[in-house]
Amino acid sequence: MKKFESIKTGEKAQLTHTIRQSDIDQYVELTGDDNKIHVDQQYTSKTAFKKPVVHGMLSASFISTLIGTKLPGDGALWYQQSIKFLMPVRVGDKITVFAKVINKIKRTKTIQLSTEIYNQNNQKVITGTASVKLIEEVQPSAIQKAVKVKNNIALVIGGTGGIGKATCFQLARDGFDVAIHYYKNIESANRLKKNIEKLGNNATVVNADIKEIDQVDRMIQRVLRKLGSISVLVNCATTPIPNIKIADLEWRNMQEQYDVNIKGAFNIIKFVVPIMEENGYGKIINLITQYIEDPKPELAHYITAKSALSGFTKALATELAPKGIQVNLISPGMTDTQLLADIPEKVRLLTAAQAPLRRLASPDDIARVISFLSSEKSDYLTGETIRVNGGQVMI
Amino acid sequence: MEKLIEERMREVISAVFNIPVNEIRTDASSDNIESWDSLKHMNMVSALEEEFLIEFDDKEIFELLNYELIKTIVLEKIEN
Repeated sequence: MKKFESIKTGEKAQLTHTIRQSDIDQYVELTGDDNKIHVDQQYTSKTAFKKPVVHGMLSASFISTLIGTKLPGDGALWYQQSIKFLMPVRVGDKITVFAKVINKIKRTKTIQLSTEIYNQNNQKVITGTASVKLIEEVQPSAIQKAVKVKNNIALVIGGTGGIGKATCFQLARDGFDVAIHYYKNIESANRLKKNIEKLGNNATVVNADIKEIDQVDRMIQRVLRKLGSISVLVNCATTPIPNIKIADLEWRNMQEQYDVNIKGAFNIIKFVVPIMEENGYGKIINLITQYIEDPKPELAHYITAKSALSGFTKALATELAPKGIQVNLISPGMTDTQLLADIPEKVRLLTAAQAPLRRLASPDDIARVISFLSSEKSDYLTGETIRVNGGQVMI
Repeated sequence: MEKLIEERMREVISAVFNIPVNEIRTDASSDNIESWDSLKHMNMVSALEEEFLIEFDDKEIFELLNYELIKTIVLEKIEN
């Protein structure tokens, strides 16, 4: 939370959000406001609006997000707001909320903000003024301050997948507080959170489509508010890997893999690296695949994207090492997870039989190596690839 | 049907490697059957082909690496 003294008149903050149909559905479920003008396509087609209009207070609620998370942030008591709805907002609109400090009242530690929302066409849709009181934390003692920046807070991307879940558990057993990222499987994420909390660790669940930088920004802010920092980032994000012959491969198949493996990693690192730089400490672990060194047919899209991630990781490792941030890779062989559901039994049996260790990797096998790379035991490793494949590829 | 085929497969393995049927485990392979060398492997291939009236191609011969794989490949060939 910002201190009252550090806030300057004229200081600004902003956030962006694309309104989705699911936002409307959740708002209706929460508030019960199912006014046809917001939800009934047929009804609105007969009105001057032609299409449903997003609830005004739904759009305005992002003013609350901006005040509560950015300006001034945690502890903000938003006690007054004037508001004027200038234009309708529709599903699919990308709204940007701006707040600017226009006045400070020292006696009451209160700030006044102009609050404006624009759509993607740069049209002002909402305008108003907010009054916010800053509730400051009681200052911790010097000792408490010293332990504030901890090296045991992990963010696991793809935390509900096979390897991701095992990693969250392993890191919790190692003493980490864990932020569990999920994309679609909220139930699994919440169950995992409860189980980690039973171990006595803090855990939080965060959601984002990692391809969307705005969503990643919000996710990281949430992790910071809930857990305070990020010292370890484990990227287990993945997307289905269909076998596709080169003749049938389309650019969208390549793009799909690039989006999750490279754009996703890029978006996350953009926000996590500055946190680690500030702490002078951080460990980033990306997952690639054995198929980079032992390629299989019909997987060009997957292998190409993972190879790009390998290059990206090594470039980061070189640049970030002097800042105390280590970046490493794990290259698993075929691992017994849900991703194997579509792979024929014979292929699985054959892979296991041909592996010198005579079995497929389990998610725990991978998680234990992630645990090593997350710990101080790996402090002199960076830009390294650890192969966890039962001896299938030896270089 | 599958159970019957498995029983016949066990009989073949027992005869080729000269071990009692009840000692053949589901993780049986050259790792734990001492007599399973390259010659015996080819004997097993011929015996399975004869027993089930099937023919393995070159690739499949090298895929018959353990009990589960033999079962999977034999069943696959019979079903096809």
